[in-house]
Amino acid sequence: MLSKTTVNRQFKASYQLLNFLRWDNLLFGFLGFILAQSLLLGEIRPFAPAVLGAVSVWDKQKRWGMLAGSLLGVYLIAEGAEFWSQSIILLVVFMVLFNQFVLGRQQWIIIPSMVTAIVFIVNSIFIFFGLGSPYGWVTTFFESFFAGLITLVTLTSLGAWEKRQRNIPLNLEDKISCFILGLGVLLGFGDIYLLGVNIQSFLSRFAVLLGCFLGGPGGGAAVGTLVGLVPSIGGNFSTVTIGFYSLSGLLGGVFQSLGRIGILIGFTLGNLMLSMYFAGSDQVIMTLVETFLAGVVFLLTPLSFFRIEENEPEETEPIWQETEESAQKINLVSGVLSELSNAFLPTETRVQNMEENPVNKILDETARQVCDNCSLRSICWDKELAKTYRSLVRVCAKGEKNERISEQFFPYDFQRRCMRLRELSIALSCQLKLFKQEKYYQEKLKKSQEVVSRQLAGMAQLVQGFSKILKYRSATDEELAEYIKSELLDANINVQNVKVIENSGGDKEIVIVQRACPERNWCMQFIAPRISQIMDRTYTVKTTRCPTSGNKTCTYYLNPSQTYAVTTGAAVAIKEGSSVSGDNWSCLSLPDRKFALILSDGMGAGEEAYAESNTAVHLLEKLLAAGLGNQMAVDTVNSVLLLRSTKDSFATIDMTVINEVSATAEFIKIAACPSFIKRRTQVQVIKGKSLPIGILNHVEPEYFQFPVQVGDLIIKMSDGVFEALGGNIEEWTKVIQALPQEEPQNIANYLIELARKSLHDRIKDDLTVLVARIDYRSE
Amino acid sequence: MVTVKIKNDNLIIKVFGELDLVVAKEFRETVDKILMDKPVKNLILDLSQVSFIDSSGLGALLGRYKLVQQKGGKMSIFGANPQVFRILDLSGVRKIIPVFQTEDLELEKRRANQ
Repeated sequence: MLSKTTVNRQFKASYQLLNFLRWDNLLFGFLGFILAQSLLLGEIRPFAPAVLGAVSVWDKQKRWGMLAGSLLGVYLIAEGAEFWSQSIILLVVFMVLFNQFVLGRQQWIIIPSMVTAIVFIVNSIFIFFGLGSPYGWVTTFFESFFAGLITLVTLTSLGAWEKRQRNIPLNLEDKISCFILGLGVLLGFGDIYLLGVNIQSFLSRFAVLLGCFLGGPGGGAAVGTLVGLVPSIGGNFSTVTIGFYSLSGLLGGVFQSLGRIGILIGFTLGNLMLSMYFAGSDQVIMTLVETFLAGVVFLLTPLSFFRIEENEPEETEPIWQETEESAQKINLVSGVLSELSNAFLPTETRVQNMEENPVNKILDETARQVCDNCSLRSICWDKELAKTYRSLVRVCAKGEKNERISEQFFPYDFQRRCMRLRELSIALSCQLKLFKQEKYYQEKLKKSQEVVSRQLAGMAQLVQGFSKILKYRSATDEELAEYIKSELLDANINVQNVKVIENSGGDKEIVIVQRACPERNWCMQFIAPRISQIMDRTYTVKTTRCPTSGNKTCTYYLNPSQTYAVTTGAAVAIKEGSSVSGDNWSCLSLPDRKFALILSDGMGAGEEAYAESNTAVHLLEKLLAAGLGNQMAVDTVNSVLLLRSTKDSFATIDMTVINEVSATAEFIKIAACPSFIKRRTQVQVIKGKSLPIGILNHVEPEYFQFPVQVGDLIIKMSDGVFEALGGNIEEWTKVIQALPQEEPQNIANYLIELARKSLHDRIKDDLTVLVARIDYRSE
Repeated sequence: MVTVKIKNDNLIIKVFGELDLVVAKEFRETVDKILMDKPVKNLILDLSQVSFIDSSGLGALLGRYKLVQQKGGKMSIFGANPQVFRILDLSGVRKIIPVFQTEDLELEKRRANQ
């Protein structure tokens, strides 16, 4: 009876044997067998030890197959001293590298060096002991040198094999190494015939066909030249094969557009033409047989095998195309939103339809309900239609004022005649009420539609902005120049040429050529600010050649320069007896290097006022941060507050948007008290007269734009603060001129304290002060 | 405090004291009731006795303006003292409601009484 250990051993041995018979192990065995026969320059065989050396350190299993195949190959082709030397080299390489699993960069030096050394030492020993000729030293030197090189190439090819299995794209080095190894294999097939067909010729033809398919005429000719060189590398110097394969490859490649059949026809034509010239009739037939077989294999090989890396994306152009496409799609979406916005906008015809003679409708409906079954119908509604109509219209007018219709409202003769007066008055009252309700809801609907329309228009504007940003961000210098030109044109600025140059610091310098504008400074007035906006940086005119007499064009350089930053301070005091301030404020950075200061005063005081101003400020923050225009944002907030509230509540808005690129401040005043800009000792007052938001359908904010400079102070205050000095602008101007502080926060505190003292600590309204100072940005 | 006078289809309202949260409520309720019950169309507001107007007062004014406008009527204000006038001016009320100062007071009163 067999013991358990013996059974396990037998099982393990049979498992290992089965494992060795796997297809990839057998493939490497066959590779070893072929490479052992590869002869270089007719004398040296460096392939087998080199490949065995590389495989030995690469895979534990495959090296056994490789060794067996190589030894079998050596046994078949060599005899005597050559057999022994080759066999010993293979065994020594295998044994020395058996336990070497060098990873990392060292393997590229150590393994090839060891293979070179082994080949050289073993061959040298044979020469030394007289078993080889003195000429053998030369061949030994070359053989060992080539063995080292081929080891390196094989290691790279094995790396490529692994990459291929992990679907990692191969680089050029990998491809060349595989190709060299392929040439070695092709060399090995030089003397192998199967059913009279030379395998080397067959494989060479297949390789050329593949080259035609993948690389067209160029690829076919290149592969043709290389495989044509194989016999010469092997020692049978022949230039005919080079011409033969390269011309056939060229012709095959010419027909690439016709697919595999076309390639095959072109290749066969080339084969036939040259075989006629250089070979006899027997060889022509054999050539055709080999071409036919290679063609069959070529046709049967699946396409996926050819197009291994076809799906690798091109890096530059497609990305740009994608961006362009995305920008176009975004533009389309913007167009759709814009159309939707127009669709929601109540048109005149729709409004007219809604308001189309409501009295007729009311009277018709009342008559239908009450008079249809009345015996006097023909008298009232046919014979005396005008009279009846007039009477009922008068009743309706009275009813509208009094909220209900009484029987006494009807004229005396009508009261006498009508048998259903009571029913009529009730029906008319109901219809009138219904009409009022309908009108109310139609008004609401109209307002809601307007809101939706405005929102959609805002969205369209936003989305279009995204598309512009997308185009700008992905543009190259030439495209950027075109973009700048078109943007300037959009702003009605026509320039002749724009050039973008990237300087050594990575900054983009812009050269503009335009029609001369003697002494009008278009460059500084319009173009530099506009380009700053487009480029999202401050651009200033560096050098300009202003036109002299006769010079009709002007060329100047715009350079990026420092942008600005805003430092803020805020102080608040709450109205007596209130727990929250009805004022709300916010300072936030907006897209395109803008900075917003928002101050809102809610109607009344306490929670309600807070809720109103809080909604206004937060909504404005979100809308502006999303890139919505000022007018659109204010309109939206107005609509929201109006729809939300049923009371007569409102909010004021005092907003300043500071452009940190062009150093301008835009003031938007909606029922807000004056703001001030202080520059050194000068004070500028910004005063608006606009209605508050949230109470009326439309608001018309007042806009004021002022250039600002570094060091300028912008002071905003709520009406509580402003009224503390009796709402006197001159008083405030004097106070601001004589401000004892420079820091925004200190100024805000100071002004609140001043208001508090002026009010003798009896604060009747919430007090808020916002102060901003323009500084240079440290980039 | 608020006093009321109706002349033809004109409603003349005179407000006394400060048009703040408390008075604004009284003003709103009075005007709304009359506009609802009586066949009046236009609203004339006498602010000659108003010393101060706050945001609640402004809200009440604008709310009445909306109401009168919906009924197809007109609204005007007269007699506003300089401080009230300034507030009405700053808040943009003058853009939609004609506001007459003291010098126009007699004229406007006469027109209202016609």
